[in-house]
Amino acid sequence: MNCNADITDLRETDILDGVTVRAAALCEQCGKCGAVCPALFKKPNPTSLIRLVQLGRVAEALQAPLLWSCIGCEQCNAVCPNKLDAVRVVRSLRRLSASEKDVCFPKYIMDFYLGGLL
Amino acid sequence: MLKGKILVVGGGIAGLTAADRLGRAGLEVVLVEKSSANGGRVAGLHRYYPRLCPPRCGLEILVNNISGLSNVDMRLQTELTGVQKNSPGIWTVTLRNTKQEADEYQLKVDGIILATGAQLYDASLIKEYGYGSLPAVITSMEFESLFRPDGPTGGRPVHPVTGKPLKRVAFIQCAGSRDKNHLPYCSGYCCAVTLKQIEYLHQSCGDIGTWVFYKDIRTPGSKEEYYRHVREEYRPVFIRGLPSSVEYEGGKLIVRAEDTLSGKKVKGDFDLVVLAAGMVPPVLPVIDGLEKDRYGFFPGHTPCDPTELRRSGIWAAGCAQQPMDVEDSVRSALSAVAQCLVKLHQQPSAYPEVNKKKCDHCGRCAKECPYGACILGPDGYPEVYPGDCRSCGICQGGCPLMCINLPGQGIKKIEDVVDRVLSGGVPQPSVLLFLCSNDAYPAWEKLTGQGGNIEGLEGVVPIPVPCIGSVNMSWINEALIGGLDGVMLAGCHPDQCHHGGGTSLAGTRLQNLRETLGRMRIEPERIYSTGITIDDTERLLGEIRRFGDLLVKMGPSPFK
Ligand code: SF4
Ligand code: SF4
Ligand code: SF4
Ligand code: SF4
Ligand code: SF4
Repeated sequence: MNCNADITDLRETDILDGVTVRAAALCEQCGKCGAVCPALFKKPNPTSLIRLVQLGRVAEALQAPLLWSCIGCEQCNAVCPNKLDAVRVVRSLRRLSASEKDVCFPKYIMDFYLGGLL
Repeated sequence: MLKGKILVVGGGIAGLTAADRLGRAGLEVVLVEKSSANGGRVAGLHRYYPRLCPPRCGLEILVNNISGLSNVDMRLQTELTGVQKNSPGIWTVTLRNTKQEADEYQLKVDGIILATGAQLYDASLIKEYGYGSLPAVITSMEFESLFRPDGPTGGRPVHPVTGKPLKRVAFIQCAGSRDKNHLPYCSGYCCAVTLKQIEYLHQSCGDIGTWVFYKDIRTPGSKEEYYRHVREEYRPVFIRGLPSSVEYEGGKLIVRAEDTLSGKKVKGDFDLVVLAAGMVPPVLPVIDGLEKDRYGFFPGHTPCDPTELRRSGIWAAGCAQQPMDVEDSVRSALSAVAQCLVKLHQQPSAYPEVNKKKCDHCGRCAKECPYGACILGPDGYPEVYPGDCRSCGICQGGCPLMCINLPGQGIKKIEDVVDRVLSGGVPQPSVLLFLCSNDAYPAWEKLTGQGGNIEGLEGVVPIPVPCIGSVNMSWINEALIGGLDGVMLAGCHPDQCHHGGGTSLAGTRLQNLRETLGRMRIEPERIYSTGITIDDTERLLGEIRRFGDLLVKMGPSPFK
């Protein structure tokens, strides 16, 4: 059988800070944050982004456009039944991405921000 | 002081709890346990959730209490092999010493608490998980033994085969449960057990990763908080998807599944795979008339009285009722004790009397009584034990000679109505309306007010009965031959009958009656029966009107 992914967890990769990881671990994938988030260019939304973190697939999470399209409205946090800080997960990933050499900044987001200037 | 002798079957947590409380209430108790030690499955556990306290603590208190009670007789290596009721209110039980095959004896008791527990599902039947053929695939019960000093690893939670420290452990939920190929029901206890075991592992192994393959996590009530605590504290990875296979490669167990949350197939290697195995019902001797559910458990009359079984004087406690955890087992045992005490204490309610002059000992009353309250005595006549009788009147409904009747019930009432019809005192269409006093009669009262009737249908004469199964077919016969235009029965829906089979018994009896009436040229449509719940007032009205219209169309009774 083909497997898309081997199972690791964050204890093994350990590249995100403890508070972020604990927040992600609490998430039950209820989907409320994904439903409310206005920043949906395309998936992953906050729900599926947190899922990637739970599964230890941080490299994939770092590719998510949401890292840059999140407007920080905090609606995800407001609706979360576990009162977890979903934006913190987004922000930590953004920081991690920014600290790496190749920042994954999707072109269409660039275009969106710079469109009016050019 | 209360008097009575109760047999408690099973020395697990439910049986010990029941024996202790009954003993303290002053009853004579015989507690039998098949194996050579008390404690049942609980004795094999490392810790209870959610407080992680050792089961031995509670068990020892119970066993000490019981040994201090001279009225509780604890018999180990003793098995229940037979249960019979030969005289009203008394059970004759057969017990066998499991050491000596031939050593069988009988006891008479006033009540029986079945606290036999349940068995674990045979996990080797779930072929894809490799239990029994792969090393280090174990059940949740075997996992508990890894933490016990008398267990295979001497109480150290290490790899059960190699003795090496555990690094990656997978739990597979619903192993055998919620699966039509195995056990269709949810075993209820295993989600919280896995959470508890994750907690032990992380506490005693430090550097360890845990994964849970599941399809739903079911942690009702306060256990949800425990689930949240374990997620936050130990961060197990929850893979929503049950594995397709567990294989053994290069000293590791390879688990493959689809994570339905991310839509990706996943594969992981583990040192240990723990199967959260489901529970199957206990094996018990056949007890005549004691109904099990379709799986073999004794859940009782849910939801109104989960302790009520279809044999008065027998209660189920703990996992014999349905799969449950320790907390629920204790609760269930306490409720069985409460009902047992109520039964021994209560004033008996109305119970039927037998007219021995007419009775021909056909035995139908004893066969159809849903509670085993009516049995044929040594003289061949039925005897009713008041303490067991629930006044349902089902015996009265079935007697071919109308010689067993609850006080105030019987043919006399019907004859009175017939007289009124004959003397012209009842307007047409004249209808005898039997209403179950649990549901249909209150609905009728709401409709008409006390003693009132329905406009335009003043010929409807309501007769409340304890259960629609208490209506004797001879009454209906008498009414129709006596000139009534129709008879209507409003009972509960068959699967909602308060006495189990009352409505369906009435259905069978009516079917036979209709055939007989057909031969006498009475249209079978003159009898109509329907299921009414307590809030069905409008429907009851509609049904009565429709029946009235039909009778008007059919014209007056040919016997008038
Ligand atoms: S804070 Fe960001 S991730 Fe959360 S709902 Fe708003 S846009 Fe979406
Ligand atoms: S709302 Fe909270 S629990 Fe639900 S998916 Fe989002 S982060 Fe997870
Ligand atoms: S309690 Fe959990 S593991 Fe057990 S059968 Fe129910 S859902 Fe499955
Ligand atoms: S009234 Fe009901 S419970 Fe009582 S003896 Fe008759 S059938 Fe049994
Ligand atoms: S059903 Fe009637 S006739 Fe038959 S044994 Fe019972 S009381 Fe007697």
